[in-house]
Amino acid sequence: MIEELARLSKSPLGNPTRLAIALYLLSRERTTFTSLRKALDLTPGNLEFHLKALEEAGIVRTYYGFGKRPRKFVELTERGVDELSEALRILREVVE
Amino acid sequence: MEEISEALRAVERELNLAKKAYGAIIYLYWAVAFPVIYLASSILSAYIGVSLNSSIILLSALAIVLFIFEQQKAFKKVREIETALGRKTSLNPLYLLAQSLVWPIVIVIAGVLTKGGWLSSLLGIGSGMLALAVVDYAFHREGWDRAVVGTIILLLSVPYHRVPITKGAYTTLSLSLAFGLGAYLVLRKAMRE
Repeated sequence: MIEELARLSKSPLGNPTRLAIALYLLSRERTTFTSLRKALDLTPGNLEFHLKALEEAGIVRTYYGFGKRPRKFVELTERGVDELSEALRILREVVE
Repeated sequence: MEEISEALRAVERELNLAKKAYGAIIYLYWAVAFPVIYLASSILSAYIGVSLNSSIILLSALAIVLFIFEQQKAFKKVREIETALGRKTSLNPLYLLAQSLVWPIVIVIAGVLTKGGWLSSLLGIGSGMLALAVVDYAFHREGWDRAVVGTIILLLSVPYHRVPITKGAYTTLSLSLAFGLGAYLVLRKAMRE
């Protein structure tokens, strides 16, 4: 258990903000950068920093869509779902 | 520890609500699609001269293709949520087979019994929803929402021959009402849980 917790804390989802981003994305097909920023009450720079880390770890995917103006979209990847499930499993076990 | 436990419970509640909302999308889709198909076909018929029946068949086929696409997206999301909640179960092939056989069988029977027309749509879709409810109940002990939608559609087929509006309009209104009510009930129940 201690080893698993240590592994979780070192993983990209060990950071509470990144865990919140992944949880927010799990129930949505995708979201915009602005919606995510407002929902989690983060500054653009802060959100960009966390998204970059999550994208490098293969947990989220970001891309631009074009409407009236370019919008940045964010979605959880399959790997992200697996990592998040594992993080939640560890947290459930800790609580139990 | 107490805070983590509370946070996990909140996450679980939110994810369960999202899962139910994805279930309701299927009903909302048809609640909107039926009037759109009927209205668009009527407009095409009035302005371009395309026959009402041909445009209804064409638009219905398009709606079914879009529905399959939407349903796959919703299904994928529900499976992801179940995975995260640690409740993902393997799909029974018999359940999938039973589900895929329901519509062709029911629609052929309804078509033969009513010799086509709008009434066959009401009877076919109503019976199909009831049959899907039976399949859901047999495999997962759920399906009350489909049973409600199917029952409402079949009950609304009773005054079909006596209503003073066109049969197409009555059928469209009945189907839209039943599917809209289904979505409302699913979401209402999810919000109370």
